Amino acid sequence: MRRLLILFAALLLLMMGYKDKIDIEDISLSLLVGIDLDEENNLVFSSSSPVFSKEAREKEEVYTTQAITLRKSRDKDDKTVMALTTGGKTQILLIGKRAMQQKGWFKMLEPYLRDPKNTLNVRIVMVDGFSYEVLQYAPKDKPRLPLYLFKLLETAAKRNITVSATLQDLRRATFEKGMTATVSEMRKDGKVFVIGSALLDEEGKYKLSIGEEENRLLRILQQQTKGEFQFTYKAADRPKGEIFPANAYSFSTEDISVKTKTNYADNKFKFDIHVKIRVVLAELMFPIDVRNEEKKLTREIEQQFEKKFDKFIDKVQQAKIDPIGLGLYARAFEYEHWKPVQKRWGEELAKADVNVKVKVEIAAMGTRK
Amino acid sequence: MFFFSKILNQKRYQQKEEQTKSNRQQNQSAKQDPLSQDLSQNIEEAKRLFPLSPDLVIYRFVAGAEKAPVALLYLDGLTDKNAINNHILNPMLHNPSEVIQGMPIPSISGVRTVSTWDDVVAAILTGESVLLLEGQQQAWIYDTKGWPQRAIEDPQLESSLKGAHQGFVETGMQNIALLRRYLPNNEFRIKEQLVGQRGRSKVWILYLEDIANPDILEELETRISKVDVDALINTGELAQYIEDSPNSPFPQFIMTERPDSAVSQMLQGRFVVIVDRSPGVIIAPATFTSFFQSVDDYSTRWQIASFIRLLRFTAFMIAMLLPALYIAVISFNYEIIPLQLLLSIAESRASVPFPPLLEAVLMEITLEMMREAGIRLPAPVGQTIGIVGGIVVGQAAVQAGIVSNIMVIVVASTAIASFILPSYDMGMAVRLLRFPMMLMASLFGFIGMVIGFMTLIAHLVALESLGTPYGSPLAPFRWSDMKDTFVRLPLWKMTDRPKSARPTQDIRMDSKRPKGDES
Repeated sequence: MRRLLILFAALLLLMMGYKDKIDIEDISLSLLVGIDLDEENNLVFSSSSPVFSKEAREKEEVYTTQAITLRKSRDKDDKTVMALTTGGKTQILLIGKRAMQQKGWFKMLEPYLRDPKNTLNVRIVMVDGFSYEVLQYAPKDKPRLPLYLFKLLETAAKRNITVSATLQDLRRATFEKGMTATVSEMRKDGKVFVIGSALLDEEGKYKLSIGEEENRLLRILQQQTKGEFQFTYKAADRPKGEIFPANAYSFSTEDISVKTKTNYADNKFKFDIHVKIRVVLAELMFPIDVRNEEKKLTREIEQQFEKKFDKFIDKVQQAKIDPIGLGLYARAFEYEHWKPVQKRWGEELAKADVNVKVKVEIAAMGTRK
Repeated sequence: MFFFSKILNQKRYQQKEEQTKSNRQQNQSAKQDPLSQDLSQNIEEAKRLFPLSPDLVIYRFVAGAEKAPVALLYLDGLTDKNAINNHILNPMLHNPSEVIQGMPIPSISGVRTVSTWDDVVAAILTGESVLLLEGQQQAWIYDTKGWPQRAIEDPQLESSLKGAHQGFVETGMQNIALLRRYLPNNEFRIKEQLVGQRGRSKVWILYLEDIANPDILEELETRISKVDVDALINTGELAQYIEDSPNSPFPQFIMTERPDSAVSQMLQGRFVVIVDRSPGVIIAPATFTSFFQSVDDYSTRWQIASFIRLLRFTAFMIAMLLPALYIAVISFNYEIIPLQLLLSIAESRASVPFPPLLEAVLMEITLEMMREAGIRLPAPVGQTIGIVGGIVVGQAAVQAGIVSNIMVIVVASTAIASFILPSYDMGMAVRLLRFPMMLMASLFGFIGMVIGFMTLIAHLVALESLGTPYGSPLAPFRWSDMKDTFVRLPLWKMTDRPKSARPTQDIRMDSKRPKGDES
């Protein structure tokens, strides 16, 4: 009897301690969250959460509020949303371009970094325009917007059209001196498109946008060589063709290996990046005997690649950012030279010599000669 | 007031106790009387000892050349009529030479003489027939036992595809014979004990002398001898009197209806306890993992047997934790569900007016009720339960918005998982433990589940079966026993007997396996 009483008391005591119980249907899951600055520089937060009631006709509730912080906006949401707003399942954080151009926008994401119940796996997307406009988008031929956008980003990342940047990645890149952050970029133009990636500078401000081809080059330089890399080039020494492009050829890659060598000479850093690519030809618009002229085609591809890499690196150097993470190499291999310049690494990188050498091997040419 | 009434109660209880004790003694001493020389007096005494017993047959006749008056006494239903007619009455009535000097010599084995009423009564009650002679102060007893008996059938509770199709029956001697058939070996020992004041059940302990541990035997014998009840109706009753922790939900003895599994356990060094009149036998000492083994495991290929073993352990976890997991996830840690599943669960939950715990308990109770109802109903009607339960309740409850459809899936898989366990008793334990787990999950989410599960493991580790650790071979950990725990390795790899039975002889066989055409 006494043992039973003790047990009961223990249970009662334990029951005092629990309070974070919310049933699933009482949660308003903010699956999409938007952060914007409007024309008058007011912060605008928007969120989209699914509605579970069978009686409701619209399956998504979208709220847009002005508030001083994200957490404060929850207050305003809770005033009108049926259930309790939480961020534990947020899929995508959409951040407007205007907000991203400001210094310190990253602080707005504090609730996600501080509260362990909120997810760190949320994808970060910059919207070219206003994010609440994207949130309003309700296509009839697509599943719920959060699911649709997430799937869109995921498949785009698989084809390396954009990077797949989670909050975790962004946090790391933001606090890391040796690299700058890259996030996905989207635009709403009637439909929603993935454009490519947005490159941020050391302060987290938006710097420049890159399309799918440059994004692929960036991914290779970052040594993130998973997924498919597809390129379509035009041979320089071939006739153009009238309507149909007679000089184009496409290939995908099978195996990419990247080696970066770091040096320091003449007061500047020197990076030699060796890229080895095995390519699989996918289309070839001009007649060429691949077996005999393999070397010629290989050289052609290598030169194209090197030209594109150089152009891309120039662009990055001019913007004084380091999305590739060369700073990590500098710190690892040339620490004493890196240490004094670590705070202005972008400028230092702009001075550096970055050479990309590409070695191509044709692995397969398909089932045609 | 309370104090006085307590004393009063105690006194009354003591009085009652003494009364029953003296009653029992009187019953016994009355029968110690010797038989009389006078036949009619003996018959009168017999009638007195069996009042209101119309099934007692007292057949008086004259036997042999000397025309000696005799009487044959037996209980009608408990005896074999053919034996009495053909082998006792026939020779005595028609072959006078078979009675020599008042010594009836019927053509029947198992004849003995007794001289007290106690023995006469006991003999009559067990189905033997008693012959009383005029002028003799002793009675002849013939073994004419033949009570109503069931044929040996396939066991109901533990069906097996490849195992033997003979199950134990209600006659202890037949059960022993079933076991003896497997082990014609003179190390096979049987110890008999009598349990029960009124019922006087015979209880036999069977073991292999050179393998089984004598300490455990002694413990088992002592425990059985201490049982003092009116009668033992079933093996399950005996198990409750002699098990180590009667308050634990876990069965501490294996109870089986299968002679083949009983024998295989004997060969591992365990003891088999047979209770007369009960078709189940106890196997002791048991370990937790032994409830996950089945006879079929040893007759299928080892990979398949191992797979099924692992399936059972998985099913054990599912049956115990799945409803709790469901509750914990949807009220505490929804973050771990994939988004699309989360959306469909929430959508389905939105129309349910009850909290998850109530929803789960409601469904689980319904399921348990259907299961019990299915057992009680006659077989042709029993199938209806499946239809009513599965389609009507499941489908309608979801449509009516009483439970969510995910809950129906959870309950259904829980039920299936609990049916996979080969041991009925272990299945029952799991069915019961599901509810506290659900409660813990509903109060504290995953933390509650973890606490509940840890408590359970602590309990399992602390349990003992006849003084041997129940958690073996996991705790205490015994690597060599792992060959037959989660997986079942090839039989020729299991050269040693399991240590958890504490056998006195370890080596089971020679590990060499002849391979096909190898000479």
